[in-house]
Amino acid sequence: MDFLTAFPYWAIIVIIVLNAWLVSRMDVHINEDEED
Amino acid sequence: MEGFIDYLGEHYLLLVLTSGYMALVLYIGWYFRKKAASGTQAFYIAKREIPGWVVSLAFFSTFTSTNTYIGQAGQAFKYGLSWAWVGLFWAIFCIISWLLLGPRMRNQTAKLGSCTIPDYFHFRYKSNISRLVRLFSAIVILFATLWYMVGIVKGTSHVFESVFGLPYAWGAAIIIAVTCAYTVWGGMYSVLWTDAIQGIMMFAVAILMVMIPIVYIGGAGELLEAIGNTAHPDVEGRPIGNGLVTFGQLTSFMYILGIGLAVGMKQIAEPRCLVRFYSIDNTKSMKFAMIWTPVFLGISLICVMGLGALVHGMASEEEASYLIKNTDEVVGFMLAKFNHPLVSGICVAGLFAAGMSSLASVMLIVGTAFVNDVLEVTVKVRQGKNILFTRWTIVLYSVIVFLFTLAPPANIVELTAFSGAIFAASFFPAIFGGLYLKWGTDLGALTSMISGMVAAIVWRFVFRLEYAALKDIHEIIPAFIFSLLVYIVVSLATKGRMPDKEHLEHLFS
Repeated sequence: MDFLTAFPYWAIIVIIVLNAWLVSRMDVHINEDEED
Repeated sequence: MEGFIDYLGEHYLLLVLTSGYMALVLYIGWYFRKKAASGTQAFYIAKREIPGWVVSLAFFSTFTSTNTYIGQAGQAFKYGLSWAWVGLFWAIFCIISWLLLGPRMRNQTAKLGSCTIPDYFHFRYKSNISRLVRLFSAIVILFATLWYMVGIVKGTSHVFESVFGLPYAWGAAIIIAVTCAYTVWGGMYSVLWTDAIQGIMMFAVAILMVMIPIVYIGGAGELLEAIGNTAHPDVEGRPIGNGLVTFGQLTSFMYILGIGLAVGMKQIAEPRCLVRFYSIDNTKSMKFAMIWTPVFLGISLICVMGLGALVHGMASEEEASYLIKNTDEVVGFMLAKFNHPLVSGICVAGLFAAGMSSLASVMLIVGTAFVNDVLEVTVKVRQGKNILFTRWTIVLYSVIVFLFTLAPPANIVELTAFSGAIFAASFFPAIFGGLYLKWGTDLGALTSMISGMVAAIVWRFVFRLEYAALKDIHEIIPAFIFSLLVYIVVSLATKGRMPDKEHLEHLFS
């Protein structure tokens, strides 16, 4: 298998890991007591 | 009688697994019927009290469908392992969706008391024109969703027909009736909880499916060797050679890019995915879902998107000649060739899960759009009757879907893709602008919706279908860019129509 054919398989793994790292450092806040 | 006993003997494992699965989803619907009936917020968005892992799995199972597990998996039979590039684009769009839209959408919709995407437009832009945007977007949902639902039921009914040997119409009736029942009983509660169970099944089935050709051949190395140089014919009848494992040999990168972007853009603007953000309960859950949804989706796509190419290792040259022209049958062929009742039973239950999870989500979207955003805006629904009317709308719409499924239009797949283009081009700018751009206006939202829809139609019928050089550029791409530009230009030109400062500060605080 050539490099570009294999690329998407490991690239998906890489972006999943990068996303997890990014989210764990993000300041996310959900307002639980917001009036509906 | 004897024939019936023979039938049971042959299909008992499939029947037990599928019946067990259907009984479980019906029980979940029944279990939540009282809770869902406690108010509109409960039926429509599960009172924003759903844990992160449930929403995460529900988003994953809604994002993918039978089209992914059968259609896309089969495409790799034609285009080789490079087809996984499409999966990479989807994974990127899933991450973008959660990072950019998830938390803001959850917070703003709670502040506005919004229960649907159309009423978000109304409350966010806060004017008489935004009321029109609400009505218009609900009508778009009602029309565009029909083809998507027919496509899903058609695909799932064909699986039903081939594995149970029962008439296609029976399959369609059973799938629609079961999905409609649990959606009508438990509203968003049952849709999310059944989606979560379906998500677990789909994740497991994706891994199981990719193992089948490997086990059949006797190892991953042996399988790659078998498909690495094959005499099987491509679509034009020439030997594939090393095309399955060589980039760009069986299709152009432009084609892959077009499909990847088209589906990815469609998914981030689809109401059935966006409405998942409404129901999440707290910060911890949001972070969990932001991390884990791409994991569930990404790993499943790794397993599924190249599957068709691996099935070449199981097929004879004659079988491959047939399958290359009928890629939707590749997964069915793989299961039949492997011939293991338990594995087939689990996979079939997973394929039903893939279809029903998407179907239930859109059923609820249609019911809420009609009652909350068409009836409520035009004739006002009597207090306390919203849930009853929503339930009846879902039932009636399901009957219409069933009738269309009996004689679906020949180009249903194209119609489904086209309706997705309409969603993406007409909804995304108004949603993204509403969440991020304080200066976004009601006129910007309305004109971008109309222009996105017109651009999609014009590009498809005036350019794409007429000029061969443009056939790989899906209408979603120019329409999406054009509607975004219209939103920006018109909003900047009508800044005076921005909602009042107090409203915006409350929303963006």
